[in-house]
Amino acid sequence: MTKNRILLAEDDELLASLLTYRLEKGGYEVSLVHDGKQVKEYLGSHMPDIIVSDIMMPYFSGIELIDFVRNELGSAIPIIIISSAGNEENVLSAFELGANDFISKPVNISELLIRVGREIKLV
Amino acid sequence: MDIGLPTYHPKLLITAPKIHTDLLWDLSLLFVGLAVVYFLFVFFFRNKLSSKTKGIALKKKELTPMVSEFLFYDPNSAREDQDTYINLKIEIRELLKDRFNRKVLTEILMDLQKDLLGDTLLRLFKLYRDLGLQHDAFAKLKSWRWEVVSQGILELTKLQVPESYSFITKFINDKRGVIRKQAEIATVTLRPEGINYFLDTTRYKISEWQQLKLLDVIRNFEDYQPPSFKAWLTSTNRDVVLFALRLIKYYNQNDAYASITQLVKHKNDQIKSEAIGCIKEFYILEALDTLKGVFWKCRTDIKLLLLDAIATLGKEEDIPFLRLVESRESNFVVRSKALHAINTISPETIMPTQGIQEHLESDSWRTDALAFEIEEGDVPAALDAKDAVMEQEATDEAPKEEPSNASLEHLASPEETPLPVPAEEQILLSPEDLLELEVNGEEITALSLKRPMDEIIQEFDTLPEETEDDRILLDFDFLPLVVPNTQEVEKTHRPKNDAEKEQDVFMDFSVDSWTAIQSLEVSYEEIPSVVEDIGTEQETDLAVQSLEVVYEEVPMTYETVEMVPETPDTHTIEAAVTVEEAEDTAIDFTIDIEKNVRALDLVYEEIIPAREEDLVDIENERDIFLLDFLPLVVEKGESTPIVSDATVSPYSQSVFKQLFLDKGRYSKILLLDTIVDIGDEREIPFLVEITDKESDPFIRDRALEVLNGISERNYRVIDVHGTVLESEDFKGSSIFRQLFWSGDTPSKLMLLEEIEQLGDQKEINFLKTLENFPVREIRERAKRVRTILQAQQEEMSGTEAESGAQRASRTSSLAEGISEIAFELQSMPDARKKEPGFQNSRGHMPLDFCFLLDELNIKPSKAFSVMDVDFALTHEFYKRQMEEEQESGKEGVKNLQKENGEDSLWDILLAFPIKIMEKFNG
Repeated sequence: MTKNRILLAEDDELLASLLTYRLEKGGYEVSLVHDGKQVKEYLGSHMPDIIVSDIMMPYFSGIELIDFVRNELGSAIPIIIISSAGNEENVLSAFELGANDFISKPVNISELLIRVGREIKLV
Repeated sequence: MDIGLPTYHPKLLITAPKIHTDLLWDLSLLFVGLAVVYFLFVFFFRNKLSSKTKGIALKKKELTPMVSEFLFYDPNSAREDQDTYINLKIEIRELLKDRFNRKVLTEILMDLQKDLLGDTLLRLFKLYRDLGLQHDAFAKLKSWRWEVVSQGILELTKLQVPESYSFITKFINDKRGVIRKQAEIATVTLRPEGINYFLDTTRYKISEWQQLKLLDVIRNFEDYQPPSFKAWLTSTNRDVVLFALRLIKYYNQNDAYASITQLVKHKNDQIKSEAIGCIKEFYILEALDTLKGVFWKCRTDIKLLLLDAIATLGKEEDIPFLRLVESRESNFVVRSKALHAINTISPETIMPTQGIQEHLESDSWRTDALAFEIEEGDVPAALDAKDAVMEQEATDEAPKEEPSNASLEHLASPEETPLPVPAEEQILLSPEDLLELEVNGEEITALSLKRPMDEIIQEFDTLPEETEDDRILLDFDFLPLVVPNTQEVEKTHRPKNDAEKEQDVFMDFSVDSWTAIQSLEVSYEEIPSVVEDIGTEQETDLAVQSLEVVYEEVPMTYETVEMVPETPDTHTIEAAVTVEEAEDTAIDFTIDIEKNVRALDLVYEEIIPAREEDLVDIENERDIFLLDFLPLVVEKGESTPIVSDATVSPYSQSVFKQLFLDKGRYSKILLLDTIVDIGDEREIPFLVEITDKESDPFIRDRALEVLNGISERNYRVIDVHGTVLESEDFKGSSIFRQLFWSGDTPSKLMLLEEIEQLGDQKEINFLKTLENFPVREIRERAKRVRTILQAQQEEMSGTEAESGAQRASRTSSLAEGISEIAFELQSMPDARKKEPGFQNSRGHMPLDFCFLLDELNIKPSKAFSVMDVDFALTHEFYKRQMEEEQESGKEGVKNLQKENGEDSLWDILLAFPIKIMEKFNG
């Protein structure tokens, strides 16, 4: 049985590490990137089943990532946005551009797992 | 060959010291060495720090998977996972022996706790304690370095170590601010009861930001039961009181009404404003009196809050207070807020007044349509329209006590009166209907025109008499004179004989028919009535039986007024007032008085001209001038039509006296304001009595202001200790007095500077009264200015001796000047616009006009405020006057002053209103 592939884009290494660990333990194959450039590079050669991305990232924000995926790549893969509290405007922008879901920091990892699972099932 | 060329030999002013070259080299080497050492140090420490950071990052990378393993360890996992977990545990125990590793682990956990939530976070807290990292934090609390202690408290707080509570609370009153604030948050965070301990024990100021953070902590508690914060309203720490008030408001703990109300009186404005906010939030009606009581002693921002709260909580009874604020308060924002509050309590009580063209009424089209139909000859249709107008007014204007003046006016307008109204189509209004309307004299007269006057009088006569107890008070403040004199009442009820009619100069009137009234030209009406036994305050339900009409004053026309100005030789004023005799009417009105003015006890009455062109028959422009702004001087016995008993002093007949005695504090103040508007010198004894007997200092002060305003000379002055000083010393009131009292302290100081430049003997008296002023700066400046002025006066009295002829000439010129000014004012249509009925005495008057009046020793009939002076008009007026002077070559007032050597003073005086206006406009 092949694992679902998740692209996790998060610049905070500690949190990224923790999320990676938990998602892998949850049965996903996680590809971790730390900035927008790496995201583009990765998406140039791979197409994950789902993208979990922080909004605020170096080089390439989460909003731009959604725009890139939806408009340039023309992909409809699920995208879950991780946003800081009080960043509701960006969340609205993300939804307008085609984000499927969002989760706010501080992150409840159990909740993230449920949301990721639901999005993959919907696909 | 020496050709004698000049040789240049510079002369050195500074001789440079001789420095050995070796020393220079040595110094250069030294500084280069120091630079190298410095750069080496920088390089060394930079590398050390970066290597440390790298080491920490590497260690974090190494430890993070371990932390993740510990955080997400599942005891029910596979055997392999359990083995891995046990191995990691052993490994980490070894790692924890190293301090650096412990530090890195703590950092990892501190970082992660910011980004995690839910059960992962709880596992993190547990891991922190399991790893024993809290011992390092406890050790930090013992450090002497504030940043280390603060870091320790932060770790224990963020990673939730409740055992640290008792260790941290002792830092609540630490003298080091950072530690104290960290400890405050920790105390509140670690235990739900921490807020109680904190509020009980803190002795230091709690900043606004800190309060917000503390509130944020406690509002994020799950299932938090807040204590009753009213317990801390009695704290000696005012920040605790303030924080408690905010918490009370936040948690809606509305069980501390009395304490909150008491805190409105707190000397601290923040607490005061917070208490007002609570009162408004909890709708504490009991606090209204307190709000009003503290109002006058508060700063502007608190006043605004108070007015806002009063607007929310207030009822109709509070409107007098708000009106008082509106009239007394000097700050425009506060006045505006007061008006807003009035309109909030009672919508549309205050209507727009500025820039309203009163002759443009919304119903004017009805009148126009009516007139058109009359012209077309469609009388029945016109009458229908007239009925419609009446019905419209009855239905549209729901508050019957405020009927539209305009609609009433146009019903009685001359365009309508010629209608041949059939008897069955007359608009019949019962006396009750008439009197239910709170109308002024003109409106009542207008309504009464709708039916024969004798019919109305008969109806009054046939009404059953009631006992005095049954009579209900009608608020007749708008009426001119009320005489509680039984003789008058009797006199009114019995028919008058011809002789009495002749004696009564104002009243000789009977109406027999509708046509008689049609021919009248209404210009001035008074409806003096008597309401006896004013004891209760039932104002709306008026019983006609409670009224006893003493006089009905009919519409009349003051057609011609001829007045000879007072001259030093005769002191005689000849006034002839005749009324156009209508042949078909019963009006017969003539006044012909020629008396020596000085022998008379003057009573002032305002003359309201029916038409400007009818005002004066100008025979000689140089000798006769319009004096409609001046009092009509008549003999006492004949000038008091209401008080027919000549033995009774008119001064004792103040209509306000009985009303005043029956009213409460705010109503009294309101009544005093009413006296300012419609009162005259007859109120002076009554006002003097108030200043003598009134116990309330505020009312007494107000009465004194009104008294001085009405009399236009200081009868009495209250000094700074509240003692009433008698009049004589203060006669010859300074023109600056009212201006002074209406300004703030900087304006007062500026005004004193102006007085120094412009003042004379009168200002010396005024300045004497200021030497006890509460503000030291004003006191001292007043004293200094008085000294200067006194010196000037003494000097002037020694050098200047104006001859009698010069003085007469000067007076004559001044009279000429005043004549021109009077004409000038008359020629300006809006300058002295008079409203029909009872006039507001605050007529606008140019400032230097006051000087002229003062020079001629003429007192205006009514009080006016210097602040009410229409400066724009004054400026324009003088501009025009000066232009005219230049053109015609007349000797104007300015030239007169120049001749007297006072040109500079006069120029200053001319510019003074403009200067004042500019100062007020900022």
